[in-house]
Amino acid sequence: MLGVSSDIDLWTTFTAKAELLGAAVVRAHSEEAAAHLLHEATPRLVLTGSAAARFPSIAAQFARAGGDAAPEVAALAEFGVAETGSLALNEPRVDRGACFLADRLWLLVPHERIVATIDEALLQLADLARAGGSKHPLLMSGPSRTADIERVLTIGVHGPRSLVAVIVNSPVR
Amino acid sequence: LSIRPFAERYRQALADSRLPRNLLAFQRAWRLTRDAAFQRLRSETGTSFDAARTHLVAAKDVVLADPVAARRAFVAAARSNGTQVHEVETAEEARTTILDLLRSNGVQLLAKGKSMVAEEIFLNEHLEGAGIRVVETDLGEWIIQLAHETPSHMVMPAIHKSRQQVASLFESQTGQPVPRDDVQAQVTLARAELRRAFLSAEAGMIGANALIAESGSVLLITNEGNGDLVSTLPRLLIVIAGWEKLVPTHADAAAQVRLLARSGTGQEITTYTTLINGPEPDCQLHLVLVDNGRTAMWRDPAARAALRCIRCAACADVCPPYQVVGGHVFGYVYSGAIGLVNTAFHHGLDADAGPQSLCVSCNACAVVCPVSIPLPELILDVRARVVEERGLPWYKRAAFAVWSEPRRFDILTRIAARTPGLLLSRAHRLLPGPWSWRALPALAKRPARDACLGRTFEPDSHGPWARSGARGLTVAYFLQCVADRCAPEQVDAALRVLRACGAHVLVPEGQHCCGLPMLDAGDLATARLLAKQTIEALEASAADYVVTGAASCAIAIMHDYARLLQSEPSWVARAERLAARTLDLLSFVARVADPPALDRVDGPAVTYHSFCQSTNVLDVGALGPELLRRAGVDPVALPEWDVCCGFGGGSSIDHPEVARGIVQRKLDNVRGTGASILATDNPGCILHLRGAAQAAGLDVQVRHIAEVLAQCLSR
Repeated sequence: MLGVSSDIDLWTTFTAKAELLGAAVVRAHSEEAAAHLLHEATPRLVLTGSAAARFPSIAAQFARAGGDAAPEVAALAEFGVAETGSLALNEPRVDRGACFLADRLWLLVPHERIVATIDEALLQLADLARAGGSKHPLLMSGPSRTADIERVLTIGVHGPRSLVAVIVNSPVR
Repeated sequence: LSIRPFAERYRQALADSRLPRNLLAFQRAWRLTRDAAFQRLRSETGTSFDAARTHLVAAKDVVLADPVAARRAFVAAARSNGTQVHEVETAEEARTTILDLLRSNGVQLLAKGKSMVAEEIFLNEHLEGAGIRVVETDLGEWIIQLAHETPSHMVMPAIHKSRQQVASLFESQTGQPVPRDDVQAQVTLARAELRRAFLSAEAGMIGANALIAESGSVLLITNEGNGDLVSTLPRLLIVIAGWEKLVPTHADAAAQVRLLARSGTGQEITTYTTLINGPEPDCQLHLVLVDNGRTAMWRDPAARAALRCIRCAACADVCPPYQVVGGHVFGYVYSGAIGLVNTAFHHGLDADAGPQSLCVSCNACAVVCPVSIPLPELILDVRARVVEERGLPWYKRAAFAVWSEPRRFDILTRIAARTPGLLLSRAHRLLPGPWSWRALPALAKRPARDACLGRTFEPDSHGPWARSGARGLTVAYFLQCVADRCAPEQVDAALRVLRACGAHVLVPEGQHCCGLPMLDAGDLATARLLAKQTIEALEASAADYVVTGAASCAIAIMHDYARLLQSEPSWVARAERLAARTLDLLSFVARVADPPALDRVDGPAVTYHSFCQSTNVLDVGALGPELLRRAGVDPVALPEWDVCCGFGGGSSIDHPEVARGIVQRKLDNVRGTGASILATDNPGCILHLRGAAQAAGLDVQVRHIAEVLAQCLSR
């Protein structure tokens, strides 16, 4: 997975698809730029453990997510999926709960982590589970939505009301 | 929870004038988004709907070839992930297992995600009766829980509720005023209310969209996020699933992801796609694997294919009777076409007797089913079982007693046609009561057979289509009862068109009814009798093709006979030989004769409705407009041109209110075209449409396409 040559095309496709799903997509040319961007947007952001471990420069500026619901949470996305504009989340239980309870969820995805298709994505999720990360890895495709009342599309019913993908160019760790 | 009797549900649905309007808007919107989603799949990835469903069907069929092995593999893998698997046979066993789990863990509040299997076994009522509080957290499920109802749609459980009704339910739940028209505010209220359940429940429960055998994983596909909240926050998680959710591999699960969202909601992917691989640290994960009739379904070689179902509800989203009465009537716990099949296995034949009678056999469901379940056939199987157990309604029994005897039928229809006092002969008289939307067709004084039976007709040697591909061929023509007795002008026109194409036409003696009305009514014994008689009458003729202007009967011969006679191999062979040279008139003229295009001629505006099965079974719907164009007529496009007209064989007699709803949709579309001629290709539908148009005062002539073509050719 995670080819190099077509990454730019894949992220272009990803961005178009994710925006159709109602997600926002921003790019940061470095981890420091991402930290700055996040700080400008929301100083009260909390970071999950895995995001903190992957992005120490960002971690330095924000608190960790705890057991309580926080309105603004940033988590690590393991990879993006170009075909669908989805991002993979592999957070352990408590942090995953914080992600789902957030009003706005920031998913920080390293630029080199993208797959083309949903087939590759599901195989990657299975690998993540086997590798012993979260037992419940998942793909997030846009903010929480429902159309259960008269088919009226309504955003933010139970999960995050808004989802921001931050594609971070940073040294591969 | 007791589901009220069918007749009561039927009456209540008909009394709700808002329901069919909402469902029509829903079905139309679904059609557009679903089709667009599959078009994008094709243009972006090169994968067609057919290719995607072929993949998923193959995967599902691997499981169905040996479900015991697939279950064993899945259970072993799931247990090695730390999942505690409980394999249960019955609904009762499933309920007891779950109650025991909850009690032994001291659970007082269970937060549930959406699960059709939990609905199937009436789990909530059972748990609440045992003192455990259950909160449905999917918005639609919560609404119907507050209303003490079952889902009326497998994907959109509360699609039958208006926002005003939702507001009332939320008001009585919260004791607060709720905005009656503001859906966003209602959703915000649900977010706040249900969050308490997520945070305080000691246990969560979810269903499964797929069970992946190679890894023992549960695939969960949702939009709201409640499924992930209830599977993440409480430390005890119970997954409930029927074993038919098994797929062999992750690649197969990916195929399902591609099809499910597009078929269910027209999305390319739903918001959350979660793979659950055993319990989190310090948590328990129990999987209750339910049979409850699935093995019985698997043992029935025909019904087995229904176990491929991925619960996308596409079959409801295209279903004309569903649009009129909704899923509480067109279904039981499961709704839509699949509900008419699996209810018999999960809840018994009695629960299915009413709902199955609503199917009009239009076959629209089979076309959109992402796992190619032959739903219309399977519904007819259920109907035949119901008839076997309960008998036919008296009016069908009486009609078939006459209809199945060619001589008796001939004599009685001739007498009726000439007896002024008989209801049958009173043309253009409105029918009483619930049938008043349709004028009754008249019997012709002289049936078509009087002019042609046993005769051979020479081809036209001149004329614009005389040198077509049918030149020199011999065609045996099958009259069909309705055209023969009520509309001989259709037969006359069809014979003229065939001769104009250069064919010799003979009309074999001994032909009567093909048996379709009986097959459609579930009276298989009489259907077999008439099928054999028709095979005998038609196979004797030394014709190159057997052709009929009744597409429904062509389809019976081409597609239904071999299955109907499957227990008698010699008859199957004869049925197949006949089927191989049988064609509906449209296919014969367009594909065999393939006549040249004539100059366009000005005339009254014509629009074209395709008999639903011509499109859905034969895929020849587009040939109608094509032939009109070749004959010099440029038809006005009819919106929803391939959606059923509501005739549906006997269903328009059994359920006239439903037929009325369906035909009104058709007439509204026809009215919008401004055409003065509506052409179509099946005699039963023509009489139905003509009667409905007449009763509605719609000034449109309903004609068989052969009549329009014959008129063009005679110019």
